[in-house]
Amino acid sequence: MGEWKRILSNPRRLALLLAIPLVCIGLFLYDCTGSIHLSSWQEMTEKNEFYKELVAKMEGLGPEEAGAYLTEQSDLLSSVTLWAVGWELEDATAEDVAEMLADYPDLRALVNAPDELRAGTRKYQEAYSELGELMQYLIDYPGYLEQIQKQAETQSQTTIFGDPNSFSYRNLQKTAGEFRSIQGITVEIGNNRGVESWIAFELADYLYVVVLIVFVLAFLEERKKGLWSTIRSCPKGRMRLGWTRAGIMLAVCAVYTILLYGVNLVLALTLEGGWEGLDRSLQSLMSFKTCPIESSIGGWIMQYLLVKVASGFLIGILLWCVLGWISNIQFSVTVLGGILIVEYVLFATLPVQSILNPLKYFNLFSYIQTSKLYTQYLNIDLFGFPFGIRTLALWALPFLLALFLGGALWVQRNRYPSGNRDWLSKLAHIVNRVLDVGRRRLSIGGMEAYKTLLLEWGALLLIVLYVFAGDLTYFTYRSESSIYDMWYQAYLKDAEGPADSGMDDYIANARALADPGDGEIAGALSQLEARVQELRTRAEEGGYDPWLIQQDPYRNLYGDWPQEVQRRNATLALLIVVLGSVGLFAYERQAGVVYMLRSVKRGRRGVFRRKTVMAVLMALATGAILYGNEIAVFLEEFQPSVLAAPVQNLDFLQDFPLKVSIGGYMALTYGMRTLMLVFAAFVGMYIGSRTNRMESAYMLALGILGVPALLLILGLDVFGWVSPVILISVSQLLNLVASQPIVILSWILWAALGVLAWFLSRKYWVR
Amino acid sequence: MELKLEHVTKRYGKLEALSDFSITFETGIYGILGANGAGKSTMMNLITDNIRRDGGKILLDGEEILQMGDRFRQYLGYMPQQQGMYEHMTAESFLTYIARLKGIKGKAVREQVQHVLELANLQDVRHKKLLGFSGGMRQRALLAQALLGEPKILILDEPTAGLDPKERVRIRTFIHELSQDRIVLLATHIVSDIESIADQVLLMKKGKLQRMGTPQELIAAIPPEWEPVAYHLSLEDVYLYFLGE
Repeated sequence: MGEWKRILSNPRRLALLLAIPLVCIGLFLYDCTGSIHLSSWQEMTEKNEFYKELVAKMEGLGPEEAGAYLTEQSDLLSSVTLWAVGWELEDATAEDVAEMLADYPDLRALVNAPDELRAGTRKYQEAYSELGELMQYLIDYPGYLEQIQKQAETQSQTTIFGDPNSFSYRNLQKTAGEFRSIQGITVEIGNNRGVESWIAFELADYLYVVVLIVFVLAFLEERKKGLWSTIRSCPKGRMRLGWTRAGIMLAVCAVYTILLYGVNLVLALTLEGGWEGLDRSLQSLMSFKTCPIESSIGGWIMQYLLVKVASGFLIGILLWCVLGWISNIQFSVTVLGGILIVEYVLFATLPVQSILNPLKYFNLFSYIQTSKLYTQYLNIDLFGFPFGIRTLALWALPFLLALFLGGALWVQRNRYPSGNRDWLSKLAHIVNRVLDVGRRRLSIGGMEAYKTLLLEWGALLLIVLYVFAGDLTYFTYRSESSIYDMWYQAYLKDAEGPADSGMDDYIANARALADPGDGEIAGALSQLEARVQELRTRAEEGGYDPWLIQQDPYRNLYGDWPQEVQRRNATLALLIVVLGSVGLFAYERQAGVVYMLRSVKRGRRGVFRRKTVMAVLMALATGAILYGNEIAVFLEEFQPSVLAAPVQNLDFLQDFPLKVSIGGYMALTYGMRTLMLVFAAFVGMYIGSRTNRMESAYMLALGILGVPALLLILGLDVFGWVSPVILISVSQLLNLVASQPIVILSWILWAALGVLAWFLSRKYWVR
Repeated sequence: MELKLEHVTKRYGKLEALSDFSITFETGIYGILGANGAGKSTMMNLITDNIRRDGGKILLDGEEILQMGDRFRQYLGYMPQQQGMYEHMTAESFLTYIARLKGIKGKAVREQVQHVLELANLQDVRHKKLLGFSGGMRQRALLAQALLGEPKILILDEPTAGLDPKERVRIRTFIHELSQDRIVLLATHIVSDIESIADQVLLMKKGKLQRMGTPQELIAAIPPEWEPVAYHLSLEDVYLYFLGE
């Protein structure tokens, strides 16, 4: 009990251990809804309710009958969608369509709003498509099992696979044998969504590893605190403590398996459905097509959770054994990072056919992403004999558990606090010697960059941003025009440019070339002419040159449509900048070198100047990564020549108060956003100057700037006034300048706060 | 060179850590003795301008040090009492960084770093991270950084704490050699460190200077009826007699 108490008495550790399950639940829900916005919750609930009802209806029908029903309903909605854009059922009236939609009361109400009607059919079409795919899978599955047997039989007779002493022959026979055992099973329709999304949520696996690392580091804490010798001198400080810790590790694995996997499973089954179908065969889930285990879904879940406990215990004691063997805890953390990186690279990058694939599958990550052992069927070649990756991993589990538990206990009992043969330290010394050659040449600025990027984790933050930025979306794909407008859109794209006399010539020329009998083209050209006229009138009143420009792409990237995307990206940028700059002073305070630095010639103004430069560089690097991706999207979507057009030609910016081109507007936008990032970095820098520890600085910064930003992207707009996120989001900034000029006051206030933070930081450091 | 404190006062709330304190330091070693809270570190922090003073002046050759700013700090070498350092840097990179901050340039950086590493007997562990240093090694690394740039004013707060007797003697001898053309202020609890090398000893109590003189003068000022701590009178007796502790 004492060891538990010691581990949990550290408030930071306890907070982390409590936060991890909450983060896991939050991320899982985000994964299910696909959005952080509160409104998406309702959308998800509606979708799930319909899907549950549909599955219940299909369960009463045979597979063929169900398949036919899904096709029929899907075709009906497709026809209605095409009717909405005038492509089908031309003679049908709104009343006729309303009658066709008798089973869809919500859609019936939208028959007079074509765009909304089209959007409204999506959730139904998704469900029909998903369930249709499942029905097809269930129909085909018995044939798939038969095919495996036939394939084994026919291929064994060929010269390539026919040698009974070859791996290929043995592999064919093994595969056929394993799948023969499940040939009689029945695959049934049911609601698979809950279990499927639960299995696909891999982040839980990584959070589980984080928990294990937290406990392993807690076991090694006495080394950091200089208590190792004292504890080893106590009667129960060696083997007994080792067994206690092993017990704690096992209990932790059981508890966190429930918290990280069990809770999510319950949530998934409750929200997305599937409670009632757990007695079906495992292969009723599409993900388990290649799993030759005869089990019900519920039975497999129980087995899986037990395997999670055992594999977690294995990872925990393995890390404890390896890290415990290294005397220096800081060095052991570096080794831990190295082990995880090497194992992950082998796991993620080695091709399945590689001769080295035992390293891929007999790998730490096989025990982390355990679900893959069940959803992927693969036999690897060990000395000419096929071994299933799941069989290999699961059979090896007890042996590895015994081996590493023994190892961990041996280390606990026999490893001395000092005086061990320490070849790793010797290696580190050699590495440091080489690195010192480079560090010796660093100027003050270079050393400041070294501290910021490496010692204060700035480089890691930027790498994380770089990795995430590639996967972020910057663009929405909405359109105000319908397929009906396709001719108009085509002409608009072609004619994009100044709406001068050349534009009139273009339209006249297009009329001359068009088939006089084609009403759609004539209509599109009239629409284009009217648009040009509208732009000219507006430009004359506003005193700028009219340009004909496609509106939707701009609105999708810089307009109000991608608001949620922009706020999320802005929050990420804000957090990276602030977390990257809080360390500038917090690290000095934590290291206890403030007085020493301030007592040397260049330790005040010189150091402060360079810290300011680093804060600005962090902001610029963040801006460059995020905005660079955004600009790359822009360059894919837009013609650079349009950058010269006055920005008021964009409908959503027609009231923009400054007479600038679109290029000027973009420069202004990026300039103001980047400046706001710089101001945010100064605020972060100041927060860091108020705290004695890096952790406290991070917590404080997240509390002051992260929480309001999170609440804002959750949809609570009032937090826009206490967070600079809106001012870092493109649409939110200058579009609001056009529609709500008061937002410029918010920008000025945040800018003033940034400058004030810089002055206060300067006062603190330079005096 | 003359460093003068004139009526310097420093308060922490109601507590007067340094009270109307005046003293003039000239070339030589000044040993500063006093209990915890006597004001030794406060005085050093005021001289290094690491805390704001509430009154008085600190003058170097007649010029206020606050106005001198960086010009004053180029004469300064400071070893703080707390063993704060960049634990993830090696000894060499830490000293190189401080050398650059002291304005040392070019080849001189490497030469001086090499020199102070030898003085502090750290040349064998120069590529080891400071994280793995023992208390004594950290103390020597801190002393080494203070010596960089050949400072004219050396302020050492507990420089020999945690050192073994051999190292202490070595460092003490070295400080003594340095003091020929420098002002060295040395605050310590280890009275024997001061006894053998200090030109002047300052006895401080509750933010005030109780007494000042050479070790011999202070020992001579103890009345004959005082019973020595050891076989003969020493600075320990001076400490106990004058500071009443």
